[in-house]
Amino acid sequence: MFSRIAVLIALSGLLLLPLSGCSDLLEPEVFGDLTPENFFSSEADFRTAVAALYNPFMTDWGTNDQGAGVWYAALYNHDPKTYLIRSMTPTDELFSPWSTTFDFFEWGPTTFNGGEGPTYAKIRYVARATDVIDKIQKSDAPVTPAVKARYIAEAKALRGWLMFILYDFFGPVNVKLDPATLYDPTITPRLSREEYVAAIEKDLLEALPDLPDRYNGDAANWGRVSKGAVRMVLLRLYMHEKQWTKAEQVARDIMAMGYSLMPYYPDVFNVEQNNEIIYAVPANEASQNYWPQEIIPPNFASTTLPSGKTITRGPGWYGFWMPWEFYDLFEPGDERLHTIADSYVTTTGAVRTRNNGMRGAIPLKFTDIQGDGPGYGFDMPVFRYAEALLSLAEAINEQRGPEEAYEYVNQVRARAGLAPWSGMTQEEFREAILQERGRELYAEGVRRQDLIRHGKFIDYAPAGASAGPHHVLFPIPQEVIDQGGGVIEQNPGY
Amino acid sequence: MRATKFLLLLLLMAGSAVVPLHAQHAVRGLVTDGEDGAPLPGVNIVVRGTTLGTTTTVDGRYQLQVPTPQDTLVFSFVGYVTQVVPVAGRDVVDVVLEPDVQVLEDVVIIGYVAQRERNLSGAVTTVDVERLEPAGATTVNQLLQGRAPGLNLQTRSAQPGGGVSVNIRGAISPRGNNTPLYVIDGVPVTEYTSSVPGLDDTDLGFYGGVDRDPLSFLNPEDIASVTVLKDASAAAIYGSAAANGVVLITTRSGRAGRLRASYRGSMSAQTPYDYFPLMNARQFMQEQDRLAYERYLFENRIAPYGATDPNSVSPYIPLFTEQEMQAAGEGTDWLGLVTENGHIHEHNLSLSGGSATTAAYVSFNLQDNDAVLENSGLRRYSGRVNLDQTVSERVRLRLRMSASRLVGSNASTGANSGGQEKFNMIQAAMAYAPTVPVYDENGDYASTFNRLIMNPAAFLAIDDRSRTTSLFATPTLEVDLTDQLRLNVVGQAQSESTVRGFYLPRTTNNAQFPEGMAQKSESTVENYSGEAYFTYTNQFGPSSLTAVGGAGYYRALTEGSSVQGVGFFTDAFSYNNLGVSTELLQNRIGSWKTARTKLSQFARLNYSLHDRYILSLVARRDGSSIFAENHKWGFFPGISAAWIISDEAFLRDVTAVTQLKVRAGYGQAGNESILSGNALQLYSPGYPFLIGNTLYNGVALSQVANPDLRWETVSTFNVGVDFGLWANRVRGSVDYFVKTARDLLDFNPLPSNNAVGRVADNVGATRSRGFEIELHTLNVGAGSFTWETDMSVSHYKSVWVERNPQVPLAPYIGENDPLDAIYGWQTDGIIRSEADRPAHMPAANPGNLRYVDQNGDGVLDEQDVVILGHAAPRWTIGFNNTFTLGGFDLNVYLYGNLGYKRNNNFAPNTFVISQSTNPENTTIYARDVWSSTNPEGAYPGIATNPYDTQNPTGNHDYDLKDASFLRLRNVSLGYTMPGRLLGAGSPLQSARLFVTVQDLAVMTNYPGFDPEFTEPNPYPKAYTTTFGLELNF
Repeated sequence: MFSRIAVLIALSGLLLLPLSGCSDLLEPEVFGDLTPENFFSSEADFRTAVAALYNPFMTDWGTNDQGAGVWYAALYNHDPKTYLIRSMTPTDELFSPWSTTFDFFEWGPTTFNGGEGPTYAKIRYVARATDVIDKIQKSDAPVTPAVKARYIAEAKALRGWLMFILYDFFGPVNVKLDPATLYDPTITPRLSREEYVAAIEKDLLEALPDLPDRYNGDAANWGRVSKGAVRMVLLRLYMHEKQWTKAEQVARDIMAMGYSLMPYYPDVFNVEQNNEIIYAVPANEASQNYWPQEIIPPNFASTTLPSGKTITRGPGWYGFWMPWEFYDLFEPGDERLHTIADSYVTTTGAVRTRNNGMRGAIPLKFTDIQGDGPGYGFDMPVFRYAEALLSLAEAINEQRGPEEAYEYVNQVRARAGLAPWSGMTQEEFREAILQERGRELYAEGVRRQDLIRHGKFIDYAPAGASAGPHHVLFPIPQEVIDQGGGVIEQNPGY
Repeated sequence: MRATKFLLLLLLMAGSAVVPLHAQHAVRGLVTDGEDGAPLPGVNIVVRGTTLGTTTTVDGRYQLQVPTPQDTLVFSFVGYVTQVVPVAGRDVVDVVLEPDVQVLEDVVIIGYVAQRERNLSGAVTTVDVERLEPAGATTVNQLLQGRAPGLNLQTRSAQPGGGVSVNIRGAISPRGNNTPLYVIDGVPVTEYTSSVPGLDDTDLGFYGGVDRDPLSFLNPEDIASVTVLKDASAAAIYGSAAANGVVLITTRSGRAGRLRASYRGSMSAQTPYDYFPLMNARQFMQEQDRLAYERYLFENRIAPYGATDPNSVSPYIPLFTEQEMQAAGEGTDWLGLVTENGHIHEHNLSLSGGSATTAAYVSFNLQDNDAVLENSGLRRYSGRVNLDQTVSERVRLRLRMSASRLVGSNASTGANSGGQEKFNMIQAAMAYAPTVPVYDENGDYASTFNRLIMNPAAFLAIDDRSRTTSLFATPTLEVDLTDQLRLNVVGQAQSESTVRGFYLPRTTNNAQFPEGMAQKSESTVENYSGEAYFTYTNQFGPSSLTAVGGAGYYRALTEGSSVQGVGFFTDAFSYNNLGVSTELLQNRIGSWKTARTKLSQFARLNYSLHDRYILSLVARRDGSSIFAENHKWGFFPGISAAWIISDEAFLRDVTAVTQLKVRAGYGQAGNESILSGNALQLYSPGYPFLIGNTLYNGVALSQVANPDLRWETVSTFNVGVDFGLWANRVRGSVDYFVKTARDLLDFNPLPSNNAVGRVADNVGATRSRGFEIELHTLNVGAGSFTWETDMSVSHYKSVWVERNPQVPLAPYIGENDPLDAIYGWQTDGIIRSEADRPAHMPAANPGNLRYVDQNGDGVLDEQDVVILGHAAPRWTIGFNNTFTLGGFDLNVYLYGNLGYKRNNNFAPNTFVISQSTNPENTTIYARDVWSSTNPEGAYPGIATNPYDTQNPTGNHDYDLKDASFLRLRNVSLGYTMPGRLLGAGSPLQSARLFVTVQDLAVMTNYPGFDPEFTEPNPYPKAYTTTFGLELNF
């Protein structure tokens, strides 16, 4: 009896398996991911897809990009590899003793391969944004056209901003903007400068109408791109392109949006969502800001700032310092020095100063430091009203000389407790505003753009550096050139 | 049918009723076991030609009336050779039954059929399990090194139950899995992974260092045989899972007959080997002072690094004064603090026995290893019941069942993902300054100069425990449908799950978790399968044929979840109350699941003519849920043939040649590892961004579909010779193979501007060629002294045959280079003075390495990259000697991996020791670092080498050393007590005392830590000395 059942089981197994095809049993099972069949079907899906487009910008360390199998540092993180830090270490404002490659202009195309080239790798998010825009447009999810339009505008704004960041470091690259080409494995050449700049401008201008003015005070949405943020990207683009008229116009648009300077400089960085911040990358314990940890010396116990404020905390990593030559650009009495430490007390009670082994100043920026870290909840300011004022002043000076420009730069100087400027030549003003921007926006990742725009980037390279004119652009990573098989051109000089 | 039987019975009864009329003769006697002389109960005794008979009593005795004194008795017992003994007028007939060794030793079960070893035609090696010394070993993998030529094993970590990298005949899948398929008691282990979950390293930074061998649930003592199918002609019967060969493990089964009990108990002492040689306090201060000053000179470009006026920069502040350096002594030995002498206790008890219809093997194992890192240990309880039940003449039921529990206390070693704040215990112990005491003046754990590193002693306060429960059950039903046709139905249920808890107390003063942190995770790995197959066996004159056809269903699952809680007001809860954690934003939760299903049909045909011309055909058709849409089913064939020459007439009379066989085979098998589990278009979470105070888990395009993706196909061609000379005093085999992997699974890079950077595809081919020699000799076999040697040698080399056309090769990579080539710049010493600076390195700093400009074009670039060596051993050897003299036995076992290179991990970390304010300790070789005051230093100086950023591979050969080694793995001395010492009538049949020393020595030129252990920040290794006792009842 028993054996007959077994025979039956075995025979049916042998005979039925090949016949049925077993299509159901052999269907792949997906548990932790989504497929095109079950994604982009609701507003929550849109929100989640757009959230991933913000991911490159975070202050936290970075992301393992499963689509590439590589871990990449985020743009506004403070690791030495990031967009933010590489915008500073090749300039006079910051020195990194960890790796002097960027201090001394020793980088080459292989320096940017794999995980060492996190900024170039963000080109994938341009294609992802193209996919998200296309999928939301085509989705038949029950969502109002206005809501759809806002998510598409966010995606376009982020795509435009990412394209600008790539342009800033590498010049025009071969971004994918047409959804029809998304899966095409053909290697495409880099865009011309004109095409590329036009594409950035188009995305940003198309995004503008469907975005709210600002999110200051809207705690739930703080961190989303607004009209103000988009205009700031446009301003940086026009400044970069020296399109002074357009720069002036967009700066004036921003002035009309109700932003204002904080009365006391250190408060800009300690008070979240204040009226001077146009865009900041949000940080809290779930996604932290590691800047103080990166710059505090390893034997640090406390420091007393020129304002009298004392900061006590444990030691840090000592990844960067501000060279004394840059520190000395600040005028005596400049309140911005209230955010920079020029001496500290060590764990053994000794006092370190520039005459006593301190290699550079500690560019704290954030002074409301509580606890030993390593991470903090300080939002990382990216665009602020002070920059808009200084850019406006510079754009005016370039077109018509300094007369109308004093008004704007002096607002910033007055806030720092400094005397107003007057009576400069156009050339004097140009030189002066470069340094004023350096003092006002230190450690915010704009120094490299400023020096390049002013043609001073190479002149400012430190003694011993092998800097050449080609260094104003970083090289396309060697792996991209290799893969390109001659279609993707390297930047000249590399 | 039933009626005929009844009639027969009636007839027999009628016959027997007549018998008493004849004259009778009484016979009695004793039946004993030929192996150990023990009385055998339950032996069947029948008078030939009649139904008269009896069975032996518990003490092996019998009494029987036979019809005439000329009758013949037939003694039979399951598992023993039947004896036919004429009474020949005797009153007492004592009989010794010999165990049926043919059944026990010469037959191997390979891919659904039992085959005599002499008839095998594929490349198959059977490991002599009796030669393995299982005392103190956690997993069988650790015992197999060098035992089967072509089976390459490399222990990754010396931790208890540590993982072993296994491949057969070379790892030739650059991206896919290279581990062989394990088949335990006939069922394949589809998902061969340990269930021990790693720690969530996102914040913590280290994985927790558990690298557990997936076979650690299996007590090595329970293993009856290990057979390795090396070529696809044999392995193809396992189809798409068998590309890397198959390791068949069979556990012991019960033997009918009297109950046998054996016990083995052992105690091992583990003494740590010398670990990384670190500097003591005084050396640390001196080298920090010398190198930090050198770094100061370099960073300020003061001579010899530049022309800066020393008075124009801020002055150098020494960290230690001259007096402090003079006063310093040894300081704290941090490594000594976290290591200890370990020990292993082991108890093994097994029972075996049964009746004519039931045989059982039952065992229990307790192994408790308190290992050489403090707070690190592994305890295993395992039990097994193997049951063979004859249900009726034609129906048999077999059950193989084991349950085990492994309780681990885990110490952190291995890799980590982050900076100093994320160091694990070994890293911390190596980096902590020896000038620092364990506790500060407040009684808290003291901090080193780099205060982010957690105090090594504080790691000992971590509570990290795992509890693994493993169940394995394989029921088999075997039915003889006719005399020629048999049906087997085999089921498998295997489940292993682990619960792990981790608590980092507040008192550890961790830089990232000052308020403590706890993790709790659970993970499960499960394999289920069902198979049914028919076996047809028949003889046609000189031909014999075995045919198998069957089908199977296989399903594998992994599942798990983990929770992290941060911020505890007390350490009292450990990891048992995560709900009280307060730092909610740092808490993490996660869960996962994977599943796959496979359907198979398989067939085999074994044909032999005159028992010396042998042909074997195998085939399997597999369909799998992880295969892509357009390639759901694959077909894998194999063919092999053998010729037993020694049975031919012309060799039969050559007495020197006992056995000579040539074989050849060709087959194809698949590698079913699919790079990411499926070939669909996917959107994956894992792209977070903070908006407001909400961390949105963004979902992004992460995989593009490839409906044409298929498995890798490995084809092997094998020829071999098996030989036995002089009555098998010398026997062995030689094999030559060519193994080619095609349709390699690889990620095809997509253009750098696409959303997804790669797509899984089948591109390229690799090939491994090599040979294997296996030799067993009985060198001295006279009298009471014997000396036997087992030797295995294997050699292989794997090269690229076809590259991925989509990935342009760097100019330094040859189309057919070895798979394991290490590319890099050659070095040529150190720049000690201006005169040493080569013309092609004008910007180099003093103390930099000199790189060789291979093409002499004055520029260092990718044109100067050469092959510096290779990373996988070319030769693997095993050498085992067994001596016996009287009751003594001595075993000496060596194995080695030869012909490969590794970086010297004792090279000093110049960067950390030269920090001016936060130095970390490093190896003693820091004293040999070049500086302007140590111009003869052997290691490069502290100055960055400006050419390093242009090195396309990042590799150079300055620290690359030959890692060939020979390990004296095992020396074992035993004494078996003569029976007379045990006393007559004692239930104790034999007793053996033994002492074993493991890892006595490693012979190598490699200057660093053990060349075999590839784990970074490795678990310290130990000499193990075992004293043990074996008793057989």
